[in-house]
Amino acid sequence: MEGGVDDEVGGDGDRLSNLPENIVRHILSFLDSIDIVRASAVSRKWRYIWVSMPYLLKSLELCSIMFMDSLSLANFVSSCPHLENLRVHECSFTDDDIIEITAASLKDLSIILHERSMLFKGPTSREQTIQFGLKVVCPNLVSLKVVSLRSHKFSFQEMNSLQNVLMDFDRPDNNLDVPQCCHALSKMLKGVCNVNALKVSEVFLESRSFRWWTKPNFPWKMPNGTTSCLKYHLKIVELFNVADDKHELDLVRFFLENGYVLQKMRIFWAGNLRVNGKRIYGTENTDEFISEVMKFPRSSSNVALTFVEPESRISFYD
Amino acid sequence: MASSSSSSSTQVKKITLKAADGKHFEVEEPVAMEMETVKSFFVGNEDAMKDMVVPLLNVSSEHMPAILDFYRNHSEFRKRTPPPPAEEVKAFNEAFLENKSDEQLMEMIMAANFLNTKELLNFLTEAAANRIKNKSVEYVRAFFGIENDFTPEEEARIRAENEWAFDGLDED
Repeated sequence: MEGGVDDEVGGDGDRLSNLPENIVRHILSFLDSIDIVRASAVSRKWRYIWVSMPYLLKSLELCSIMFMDSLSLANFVSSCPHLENLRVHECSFTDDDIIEITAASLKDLSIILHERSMLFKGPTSREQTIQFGLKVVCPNLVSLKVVSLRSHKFSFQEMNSLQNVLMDFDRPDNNLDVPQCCHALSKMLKGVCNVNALKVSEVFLESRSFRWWTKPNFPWKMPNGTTSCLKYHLKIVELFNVADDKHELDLVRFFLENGYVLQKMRIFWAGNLRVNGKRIYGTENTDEFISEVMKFPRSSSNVALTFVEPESRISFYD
Repeated sequence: MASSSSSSSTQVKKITLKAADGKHFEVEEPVAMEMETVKSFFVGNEDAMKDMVVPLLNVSSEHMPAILDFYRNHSEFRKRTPPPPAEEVKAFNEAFLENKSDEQLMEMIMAANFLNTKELLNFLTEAAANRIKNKSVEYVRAFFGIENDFTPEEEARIRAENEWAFDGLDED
């Protein structure tokens, strides 16, 4: 049998290299990535064959890419059946559509959108107005991080495995208004733990944690009635960038009052921001804030409250 | 196959397939229809009569019996209730590949591609993949009959880029 192969090469030479490329790719698709890497040394034709095989990807990081439409990202992701980690950082989209991430294999999704200061260098300069939404349908997602989402148009579906959520809304004054933001929070709490999730979640969800990046002077008006997420799952709440304003007190109160299984709450003080010696933002009266917090009724009998100084604070993005 | 019930086997329609080298094969209609290429010959072709001979230009008669055997067995596996045990399917598949040279395997892959049957194509391409898994670049070239068209310097550079991928391979 081995002799047969040699005879073939010596015989009519390149006969089988005429194998259609789709078949070669089909064969390679059963192999591990290490085999594909080696395949790039086979011949010039095979040098970059791996590029056309996105379905090999387990981990993908997209940085500073401008997508002509949100559909192209959605299509690319759905052509990667093995994708487990996806990072979309500082990418831009030229339309206002919903970015849809549908991936059964995905475990870790991180979307960090442009900060407001980043200039949009697209064919149109609509940076200020672009408010694409987000739709995530990932039944096996464990960790979700969304930073600087500028729209309340988002939905989470089939997120029954989700354990860690990190959400940060970018809220320029001219766009996402307060009721929208409150709506977004309650929607998120509902979306990550729907009725189906309830059945399995008590087994699977050991530690659900929640981090929220607060914005200054932002009146939180929490929805009445608790969500199932708060009632059964949410164990850790971390609030970042907390200054001593009344609205943040409301947020703390909301979690203490409604978090039935809450175990840990950490409040990270905002650093002081001074311009010409005048404090424009930051924490002045933390003692007062703390004593207020201590008066709040708690639904969980066992909450460890920690207040963390700005110097020692861990990064929100960790 | 036919011996199981002689009364019904007389009623099963046959379709005649013509291999690349002109040899004819009479095949039960449901088995022939497993091949999308044959199916599309009749479906959407109003003039085609079931007694027409279907030419299969890319399939040599050498492989026809094995390929038809695959369709017969796998369609029976699919229909059977309860489904056959995994070992039975595996045993059939292993026997199917036994004594098939690399070249024969490749020819059958081309045939399955032409006949447009996903199940057979998937099965054969995976078998081919298993034969080159963790093998050297030289082995893969020989397997596919590909000539090395890199200069020695280019090849050395590509290997150096991903040195880790070229260690600890199975023997050819």
